[in-house]
Amino acid sequence: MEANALKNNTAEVGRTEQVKARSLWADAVRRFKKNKMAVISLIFLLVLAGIGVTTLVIDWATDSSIYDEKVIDQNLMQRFEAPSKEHVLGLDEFGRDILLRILWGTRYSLFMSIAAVLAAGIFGVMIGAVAGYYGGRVDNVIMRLMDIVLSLPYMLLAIAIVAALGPGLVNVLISIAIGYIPEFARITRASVMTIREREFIEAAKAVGASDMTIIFRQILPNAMAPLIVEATMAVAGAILSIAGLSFLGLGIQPPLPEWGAMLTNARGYIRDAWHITVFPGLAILITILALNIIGDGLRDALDPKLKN
Amino acid sequence: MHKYIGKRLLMMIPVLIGVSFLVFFILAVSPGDPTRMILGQQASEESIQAMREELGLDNNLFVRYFNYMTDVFRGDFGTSWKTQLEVLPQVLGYFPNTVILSIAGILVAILIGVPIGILSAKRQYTWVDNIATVLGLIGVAMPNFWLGLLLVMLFSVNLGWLPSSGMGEGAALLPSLILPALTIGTGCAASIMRMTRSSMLESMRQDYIDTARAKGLKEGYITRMHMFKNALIPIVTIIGLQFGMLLGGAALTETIFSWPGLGRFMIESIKAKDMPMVLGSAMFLALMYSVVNLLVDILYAYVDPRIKAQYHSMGGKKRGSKRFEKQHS
Repeated sequence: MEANALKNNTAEVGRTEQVKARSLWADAVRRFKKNKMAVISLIFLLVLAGIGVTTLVIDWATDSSIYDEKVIDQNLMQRFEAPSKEHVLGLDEFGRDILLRILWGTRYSLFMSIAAVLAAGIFGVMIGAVAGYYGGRVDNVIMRLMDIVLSLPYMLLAIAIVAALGPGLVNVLISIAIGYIPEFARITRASVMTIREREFIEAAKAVGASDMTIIFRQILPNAMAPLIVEATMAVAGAILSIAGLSFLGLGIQPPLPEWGAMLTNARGYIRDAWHITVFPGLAILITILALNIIGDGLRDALDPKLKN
Repeated sequence: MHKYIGKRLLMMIPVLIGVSFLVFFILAVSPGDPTRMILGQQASEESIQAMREELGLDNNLFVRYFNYMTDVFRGDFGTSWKTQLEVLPQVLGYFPNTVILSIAGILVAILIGVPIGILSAKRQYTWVDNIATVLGLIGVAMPNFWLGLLLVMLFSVNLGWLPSSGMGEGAALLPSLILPALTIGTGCAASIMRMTRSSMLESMRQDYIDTARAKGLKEGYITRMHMFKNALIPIVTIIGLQFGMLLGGAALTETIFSWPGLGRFMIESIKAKDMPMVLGSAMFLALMYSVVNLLVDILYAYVDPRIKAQYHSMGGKKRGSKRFEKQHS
């Protein structure tokens, strides 16, 4: 009698769950949509990325003639011109349109940051997965190495690497990426270590799946949530670091329109033209703000337990 | 207690070796022939070979690292390629200015971050909390070199209240310190505020707060002695971390304000391609950062009686908790 009731009960529970069944991702999307600020930030970022892609297409279609003419070429007659109807954000110290330079700079500030974080993510995840899955001595050696990288201040590490390799797009990318590898490795390792003990991994082993299959097909898809959050935040940090390096003259070099590089000379013209200083910095601030808000929103959406 | 500190000091050794090797590895294997850099492009083959031997460049990396570190322990960080000056006196000359700036910056950050964080937690979900949260988000996202430029624009150029660059001496030190300290401290203030808020919220929900209220204690006393004291550990952690970050990352702020600190000196040395100076500065900053982190760890023992208790309690219990730590780290 009692057993029967229990059976009915569990059947009922099973049924209600079936009705409500949603995938993890659908659930997360639903929760994310409730966060208005995060949705607005995401739309802003998608628009910005769209503009960035458009400028690349324009350059490809016009063989960079618009880029050379409007973004790079100097026009000293009109330097420091204040914002007007024709030039909404004004002209810089070489008479170039600041708005166009900011829009064309998206590829350096946003896309390069994304590329650096992707690179760091790929290496970090592989390193962390190996450490977490095999454990023992492998884990110990790898994680101590990661600790050492982490025990250097991030900016100092980036500056040291750029100092050694010299400026240039690829070198800046490397210097930004290396500092983020340990963070990804740690997060991946922690997830892998918890997931590796689950029954479905045992099942996969029992049917003879190889280690690589288990790591990449079974474990990593289940460890994605914290990685996505970390990646969003890391892109924000990378934009800041690239801008900082470029501002110091160690990153992306003028006349390329990277947002931090646009501020390199601003210090000298503070008396002459406020708009040279204000707008590129505003572009950095708003983009990072948007990324951080998206990151917070994603964390709440993907792991509601963490929300305080 | 002494055991705890001793253990931390021992753990420090591999970290210092690792960090110094990493810095050495990055900067010593940089492409480009240093002998050409020193002797110029016209130098003869023999003089270059002699120079290579003098610098020990033909040895393998580990030998070179070992030799470098042996010299470092003797107080010899090498000599500049450009000016032939010794590195260490230069580094020691600039470093105190970075420390002054970092301390001022962290004080600004604490004075802004902690009170706002407490207020924000006590008034959770009110307009005070909302404004503080928005300010916190902006503060974290603010590129601090841009903030520095804006501050110069407002307070030096437009209002003429404060100097825009350099480091004043004597009574002029304070005014020259304000803008750089604000610049470097704002981002930290935002982090400290967020941590203070969440940590306070955590300790506010504990049962002993209800007990304290039931005893009839005054709210201000409860906030200070029961909530804040228990919320202190994560706050101290983040302050320590941020202070280390300031020491290592002051280059940007120092550059904007022409502050004669070690970060700016390092950037200038990089531009001058003066590797011994770069290596010396970076090595010094990295080691100092590790030492600050160690000091923060030791500080825990004073802030958190639980750590002290752990080392006074039974051996068996300690071993158990250590295993726990290991599994959860």
